[in-house]
Amino acid sequence: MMLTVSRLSAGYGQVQVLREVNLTVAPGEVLCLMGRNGAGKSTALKGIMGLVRATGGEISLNGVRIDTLPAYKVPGLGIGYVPQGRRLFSELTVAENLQIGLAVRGHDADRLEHVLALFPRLRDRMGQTSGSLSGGEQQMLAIGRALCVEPAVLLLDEPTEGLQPSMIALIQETVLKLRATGVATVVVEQRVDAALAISNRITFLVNGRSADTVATRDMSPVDPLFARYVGI
Amino acid sequence: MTGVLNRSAILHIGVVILLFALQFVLPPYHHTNMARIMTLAVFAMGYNVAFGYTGLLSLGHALFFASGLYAAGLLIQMGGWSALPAFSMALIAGGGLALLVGVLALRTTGVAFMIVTLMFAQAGYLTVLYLGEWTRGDEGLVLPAASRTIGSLDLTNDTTRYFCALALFSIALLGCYLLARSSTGRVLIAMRENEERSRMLGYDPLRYRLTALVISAVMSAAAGAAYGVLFGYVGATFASIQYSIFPLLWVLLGGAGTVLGPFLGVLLMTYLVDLAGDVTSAHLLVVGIALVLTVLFAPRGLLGTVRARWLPWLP
Repeated sequence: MMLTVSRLSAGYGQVQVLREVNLTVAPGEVLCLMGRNGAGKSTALKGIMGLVRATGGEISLNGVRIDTLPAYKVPGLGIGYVPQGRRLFSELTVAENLQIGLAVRGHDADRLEHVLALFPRLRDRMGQTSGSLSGGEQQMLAIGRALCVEPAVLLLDEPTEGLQPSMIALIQETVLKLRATGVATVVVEQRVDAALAISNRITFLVNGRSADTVATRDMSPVDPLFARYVGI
Repeated sequence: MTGVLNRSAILHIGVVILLFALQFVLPPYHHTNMARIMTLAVFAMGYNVAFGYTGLLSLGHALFFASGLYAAGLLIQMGGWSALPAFSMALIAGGGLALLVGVLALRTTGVAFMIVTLMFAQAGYLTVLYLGEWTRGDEGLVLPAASRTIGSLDLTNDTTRYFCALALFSIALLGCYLLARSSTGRVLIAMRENEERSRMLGYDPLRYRLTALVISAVMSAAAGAAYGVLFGYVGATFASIQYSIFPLLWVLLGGAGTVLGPFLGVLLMTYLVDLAGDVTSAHLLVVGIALVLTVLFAPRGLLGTVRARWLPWLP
């Protein structure tokens, strides 16, 4: 499914964070959002999910507007979201967290198996409360829970933040596997090497506005755009 | 997973069997006391669905308890209904009232929700007093013994009363046990932990909170109606704020969000008040100290602490 965001404006109360942001992501594509702190990357994902109410512009999924829907209806359309900081239900077990994800679109054992095949380590932790998992395992669970809705579009907010290198590699490998299956993915990423490793295109956000969008095959880690928009 | 299910199922079945067996050995005073405790435990379990599982800190549950109590009581006293149909109508009254209150009160959260539910309950209490011509206000109604029957079962008989209370308690316990293990139960816990997280996963908070409130109110109304029918008294005290605070204290003491915690809370609180009353007229002081100690040393309540420290499989 194609996700299109056109001239999206949104914010918190009187504070406007996004100003006419444009982005698109196609099936089997990974779009990376980059920018300095406060540029509006996380707010853009929340805006797509309806968690921050749009004050202007449009969000559409395969041409059908979704920005007018209440937030709780968005996942049911096939958009999975992994927020920054994982945001699990810490008192529930791994199994229960996954079941909450599965129940959104009707429990399906195959979908659960698909998630556990991607993250086999979760299988050994099913009875453990999610609050007691390591950071990497929590991120696996957060992504696994989002995959339980069998998303056609997946939104990941800094999925590798604070993880050790082996875990970062696993998350990146998972994103690439999902890309190969046709999932359209939007990733907020701060690290240049990670952005170049997994994404097809990068959209840079500056002060809540979308600036350049560049194909990653045309970029190197020392591309001047990174210095200009990310400060690296 | 199956082992966990078996352990917790066995524990709950064991409690019911123990309560069944107790009635053969309990002296008359404790026999009646236990029937009262089981009935009030249904009220506490209902409150636990809203507060313990869903995080709805209501200060107005006396409204739902009293709605069941008065619906059944007035239908028996004035309408000449028999106990079972009156009990059924009481459930409808409690559920209907919760729908009405919920649609309005659930637009608020936190302290505002507490105040709105408290106001509804106070309005209910004042209505009971205002309609004194029918309710007989503070004095209340004593239901005639002849009307307190289900078929050939005489509910004024101690043994029958005990079994009826046990039957209601067992149904409520089973319902809570199944709810806690169901996907709906997990979503309610998710709502309690974080509403926005639940929304971003695709759950409508209003719908689930309203569902929890209605289930909670129906159970509270069932307890109220059963209390009236089994003990024969319908009074305004049961609509007062005291009966909104009691279930909160019972659940806090026993363990919010545990299936057996509310029962344990009612049991301990009842006997604590009883025993303290034998020793001092300041028995509420003793209860207060017990609650302070619970909050200090077992902030999750007794069973909540047991679950956190030793028995993670406890539902």
